[in-house]
Amino acid sequence: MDKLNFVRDGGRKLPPGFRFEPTEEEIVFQYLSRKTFSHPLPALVIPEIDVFSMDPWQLAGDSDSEEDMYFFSNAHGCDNESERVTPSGVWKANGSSKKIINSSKRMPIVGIKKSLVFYMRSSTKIVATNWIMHQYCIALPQQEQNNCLVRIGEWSLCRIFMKKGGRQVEDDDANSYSASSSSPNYDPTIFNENFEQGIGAVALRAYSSSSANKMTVRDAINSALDEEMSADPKVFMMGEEVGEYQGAYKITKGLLDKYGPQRVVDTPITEAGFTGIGVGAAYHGLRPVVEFMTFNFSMQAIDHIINSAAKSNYMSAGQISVPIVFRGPNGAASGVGAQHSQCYAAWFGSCPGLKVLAPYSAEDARGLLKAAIRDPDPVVFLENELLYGESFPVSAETLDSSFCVPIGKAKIEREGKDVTIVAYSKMVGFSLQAADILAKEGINAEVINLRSIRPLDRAAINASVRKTNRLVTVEEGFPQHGVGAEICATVVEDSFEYLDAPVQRIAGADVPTPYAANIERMAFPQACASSFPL
Amino acid sequence: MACSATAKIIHNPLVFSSSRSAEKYESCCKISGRSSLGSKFLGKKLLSAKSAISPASRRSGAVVAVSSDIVKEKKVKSGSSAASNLLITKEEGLVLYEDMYLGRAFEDMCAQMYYRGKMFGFVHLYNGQEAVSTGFIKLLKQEDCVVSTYRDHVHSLSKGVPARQVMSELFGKTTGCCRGQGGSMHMFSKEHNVLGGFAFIGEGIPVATGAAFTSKYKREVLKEDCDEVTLAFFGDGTCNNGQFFECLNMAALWKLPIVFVVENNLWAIGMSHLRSTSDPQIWKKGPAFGMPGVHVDGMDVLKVREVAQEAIGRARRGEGPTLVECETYRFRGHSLADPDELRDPAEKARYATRDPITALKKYLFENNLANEAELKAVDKKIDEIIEDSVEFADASPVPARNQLLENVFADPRGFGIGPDGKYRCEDPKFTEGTAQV
Repeated sequence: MDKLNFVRDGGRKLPPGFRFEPTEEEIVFQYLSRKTFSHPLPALVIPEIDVFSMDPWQLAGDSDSEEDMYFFSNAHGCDNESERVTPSGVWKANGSSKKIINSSKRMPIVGIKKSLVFYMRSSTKIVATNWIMHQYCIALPQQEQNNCLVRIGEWSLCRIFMKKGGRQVEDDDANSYSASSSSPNYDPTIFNENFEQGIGAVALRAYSSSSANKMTVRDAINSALDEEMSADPKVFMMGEEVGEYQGAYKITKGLLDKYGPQRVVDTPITEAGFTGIGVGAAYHGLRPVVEFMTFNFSMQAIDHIINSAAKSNYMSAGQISVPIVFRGPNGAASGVGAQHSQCYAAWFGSCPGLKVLAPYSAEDARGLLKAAIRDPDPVVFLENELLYGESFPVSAETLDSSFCVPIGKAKIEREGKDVTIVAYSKMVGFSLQAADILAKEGINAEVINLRSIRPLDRAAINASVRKTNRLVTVEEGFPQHGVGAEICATVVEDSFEYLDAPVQRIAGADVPTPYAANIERMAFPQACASSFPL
Repeated sequence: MACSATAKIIHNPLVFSSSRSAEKYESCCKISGRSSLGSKFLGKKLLSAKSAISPASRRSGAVVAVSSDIVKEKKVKSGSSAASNLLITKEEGLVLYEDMYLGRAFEDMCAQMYYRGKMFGFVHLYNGQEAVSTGFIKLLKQEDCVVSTYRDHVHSLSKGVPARQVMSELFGKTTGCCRGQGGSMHMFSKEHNVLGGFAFIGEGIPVATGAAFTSKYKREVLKEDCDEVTLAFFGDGTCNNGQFFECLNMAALWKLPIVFVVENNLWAIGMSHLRSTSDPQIWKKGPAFGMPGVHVDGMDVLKVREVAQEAIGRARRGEGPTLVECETYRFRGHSLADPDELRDPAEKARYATRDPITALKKYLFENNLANEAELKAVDKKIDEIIEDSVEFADASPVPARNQLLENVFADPRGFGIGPDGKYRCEDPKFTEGTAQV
């Protein structure tokens, strides 16, 4: 699960045999897009520098390799013809820009490549040097304005090199110097489907909402934990890497410095042990928040979640309540294999004594986590790794420190009248995209974000079905005995006469999650138009 | 002072044979009178024969039981003459006797009630092990916590839960300590800080460690004046379970105020400890994690009490956890449904002669701390308490129908939203226990 990090002491030291020679498509759609939209990068080979603050020969630092240098820099000026000044000279664009599109997948965004040449200032004039920069940035074609390109994002990726004899620098000769990396085995479609969807959704959203406050899910969870820990000294965090590592997914960043090692407790790798310790502490008056690195690891501790936490209030007839929160990422990530990709909503959702929550947006994450920490019962809080980096608009009310979302109430994300789509967590995003696609076909779908798996908001689901008369449930987990099965049974029991068609369940494939990216994509639901080739 | 917790030879090496040769026992039996009770024989391992042990598991080697430096120092300080230095006063002796007799009489009554059909399900009796419970728990305050396994009736009684409540709970009546919802294996009492009662062996150990964590947290983070100690009771079978080791590690790592008390009665249902454990000396597992491991004769309440004082004192002072292995024996089967065929009757007979209650009685008489009449009065008092508890339990009502749905959540809105859009718990029909839920 570690990302490769080859940047050490500012310089790039690649392992032997590793060549970093990406194609332009790879630069834009793998590295720059992920950087712009805060997705995890495949390899941290590219440092962040303001390339215009130094002269090109200083950028190499102490390394005297003659390879191309790659940097993330800010994107200002990328979409116009301005000159950029450095201490000893100036970068000037040589005229044309090149548009880079993703050749294998239709994407809403494109890349723009600008070529610049460095002119050194001598006493009276500027002299062209052999330093060349290719600056890439991301843009969105504006359909309403004849597809003219508008730059989005704050990052550009700069490739800087010294032109050698025979090396072409014209824009349309991009292929000649990256020929070595365009080997037949390189497949630019090795992409996380979800990432693409996320890109599409986020790119549109990033552009369209101009002034509203935005917050990533990661920041939402971090701020909720921070506020609850400062409000109540009995709240403490426990888990692997929550302290000095700042959280395996950086969710608990900054909390160790703020609250100290006795309230943000780094544990050894002992799920059963530390979960039990959390439950014991909750029995005796504290309010622990136990983090699982992923919920797959909760299986080593599930005895304590179910037997000591969920059942104790009942077995002790109300004497011992267990105000504990178990949180962590749930469901599939990207290419992590079968043992790290299971969705546990259905398993925990069937157990009485637990409350099970699955937030989608930043507002959900913040409000539900605060409600969970304040709740006197055990709560299982199922996050999603791929949603951590996604930004959502949040209202001012959400940012208030006493903001809570009620447990057990679903949210209607999109009103509609023809069909009800019920989903939770990441699938809500997909459902919204699907609803947009359906809207083009004239079908008005209502999308419900469950937010709470247990207790299930049966009232809201039934009310919606009684309005639309058709139901589709979407989940990422395995189909048999899943959340969709429970929703279907509920609707059949309560609103049978209102159904015009059988309930459709969309779930993950009934297989352990494969590793290969293309079949992994096929193992989970996707949102696409019916004519789109899979 | 650092606890070295390493093995030190404190006697001449004894030949240690896991086959528990009979002669060894006989020779020790001779001194089972006052000297063994009054002396500081910490760590002398007395074993009885077990004919079913295969030769392969026999060990002979110069191994001695150990105690940590701390306990050893105390032993040396207390002097060598046993007779003049009594361990308890008369009042303490009577308290110990009363508590052990309560445990024994209660468990015997449970067996009777079970065979009469008043009690049902799984019932695990504690006969023979009373010395461990009494020796440890009578040293605790009300705020200290006890966590146990399914063999928890006597731990609850020692901690102070009234016999009436425990008996009603076993009968499944609504006046029980858990309103009949827990049962024999799940005794909880917030008032007396009994944190259960766990059916899964090993499950209670992390929970106990969590309660100790809370105690330390209260002291260091919340700055409260808190020196609560937690005791975790569990058996020899549990010592092979992963959670046990995880908690030894974390308790020693964070120096938690907990004492891990192993009630080694040599049998996990029908699995002999010697058949299932690579190294049967459980106290050795403590030093591997950095805490002292002590072995004590669990059939002798005074020895147990002495070790307990030291271990609980260590925890209260903030010096960290201790692992105490009490060698003890259960006179009855694993549960009342266990035919108990695998244990050798000769072994049972031998341990019956080491009955802790008889031993304490003898000590009290020989040291003129009590006479026959006083102890008989205590017996009578306890018998009356037990009879009263049975009558009380019999007369108590069974739970009402709506109690089925109560106590699932501390926050009742956890049952969610009903079809009318309001919280289900606000619907009066909900609490009547209708099947709509």
